[in-house]
Amino acid sequence: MKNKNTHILESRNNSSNNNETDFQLDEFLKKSTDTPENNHLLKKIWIGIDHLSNTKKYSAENAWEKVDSRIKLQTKNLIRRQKFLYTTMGAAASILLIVSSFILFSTNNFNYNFTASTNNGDKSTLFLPDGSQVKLNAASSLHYSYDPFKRKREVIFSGEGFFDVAKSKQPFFITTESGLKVKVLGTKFNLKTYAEDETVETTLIEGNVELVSSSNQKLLMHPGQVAVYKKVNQQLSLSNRKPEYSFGWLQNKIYLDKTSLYDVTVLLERWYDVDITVRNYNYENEKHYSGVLSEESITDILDGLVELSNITYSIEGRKIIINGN
Amino acid sequence: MEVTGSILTEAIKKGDYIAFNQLFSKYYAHLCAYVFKITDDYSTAEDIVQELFVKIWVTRSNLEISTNLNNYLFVSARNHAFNYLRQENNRRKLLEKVHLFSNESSQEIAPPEFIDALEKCIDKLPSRTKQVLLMNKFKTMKLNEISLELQTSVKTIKNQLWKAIKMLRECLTDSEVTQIV
Repeated sequence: MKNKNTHILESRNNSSNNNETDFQLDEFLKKSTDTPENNHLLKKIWIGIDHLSNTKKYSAENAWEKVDSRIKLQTKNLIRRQKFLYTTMGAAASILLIVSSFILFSTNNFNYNFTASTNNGDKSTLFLPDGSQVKLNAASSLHYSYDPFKRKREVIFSGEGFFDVAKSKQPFFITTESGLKVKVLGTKFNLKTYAEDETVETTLIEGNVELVSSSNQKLLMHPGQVAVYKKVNQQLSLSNRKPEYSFGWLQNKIYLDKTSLYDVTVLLERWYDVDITVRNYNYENEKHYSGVLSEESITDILDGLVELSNITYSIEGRKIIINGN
Repeated sequence: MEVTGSILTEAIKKGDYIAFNQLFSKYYAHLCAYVFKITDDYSTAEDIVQELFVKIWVTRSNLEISTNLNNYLFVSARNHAFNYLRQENNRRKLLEKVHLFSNESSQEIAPPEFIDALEKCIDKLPSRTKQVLLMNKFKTMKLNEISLELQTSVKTIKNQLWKAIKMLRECLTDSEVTQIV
């Protein structure tokens, strides 16, 4: 058996063989009659040129965005944890706290694990360490983990997000609380999976994704398709809904497609961080809303609803009361 | 350069994010190019250097730089890269790279100022000499490939490269940069 040192020698000899037709500085330095200091500088210049050509492959500007967002994420989580500490008490809360700090501090050198979330009324853009980008809509949470040994990227997700996943040979798995899994190779798609919603919606614009339900039903999606997963019966199917409706939130537009008043209020609560109570509403005669609402103020939207149906509303701070007549 | 380095370090310790951004812009590509020599993989080199910067900022209050900033950054990046190979369980590569870098004293790591001055000097080279140098070092073309494309002998090309290095040395000696090397 060869020992390691011979292996090293061999591999070094191999690389010099490959460079036989390359310029060998040492040949010239041997013949050079210069002082050793001068020759040393020549060598340094030669290595410096190699270094310079390699620096051209990197862009500090693009990388800064990633570093900046990872730093902000860490600080944001720290602040949120501190607030959490002040406002909660009891054993359950401290267990949660320990769990979340474990997630944060287990971010050792090459094992990326972190959680990011948005509150009601918040939107945010995340850059994942692998180069993927995720835009988070309000009230969403994303836990990312990367295992460098298995080279496995995994995301646990709830809420709504637009994913622009970097191309990689290794698939990327997104798990939702509903049990539906999304298997991704570099693509762009929207995923809507709020815990309180009855369905999980996936809309694909580019590339391919495969959906796998908890009953192991599989669906391979193509660009332009909308897939709906019904949590009640765990059925996965394609919908004929327009894909652009799913991306409305990215341009601050709300698309309503035969949406019930209840669903509209849930949406508004998320987007504007308000509490909406509906009183005296006749659900049997319920109206469904269709159309596009461009995000202006919440009162503009409520005024629009008043025009379309027989309701009135009142606002008190963050509380909104809608009255059916 | 030592002075500006320590001013930057002090500002970062106090939580100056703009100073941190300056440090990042100045060193990022250089550290990546350096780490690339260890990882042989472009994107891993980026991951390692980004991780290093996140760590510098997060632990900034404990930042103690005993030598100079340049050495501190390159040596930290190198250690991060070796750690990565260790975690990857790539023993053979680790040994090879440790061996390769063991002869390098920290004084020999060229600061970004040197590389910047070198780039300016390359720009000033006569066009034919510059062309040969760029083909060999930036497009990583072999000497025989260059000789085919330029219709000259390999020997002429070797001489052109030797001339280029000597001219670069003259140019660098004229500029003030060599004082810090």
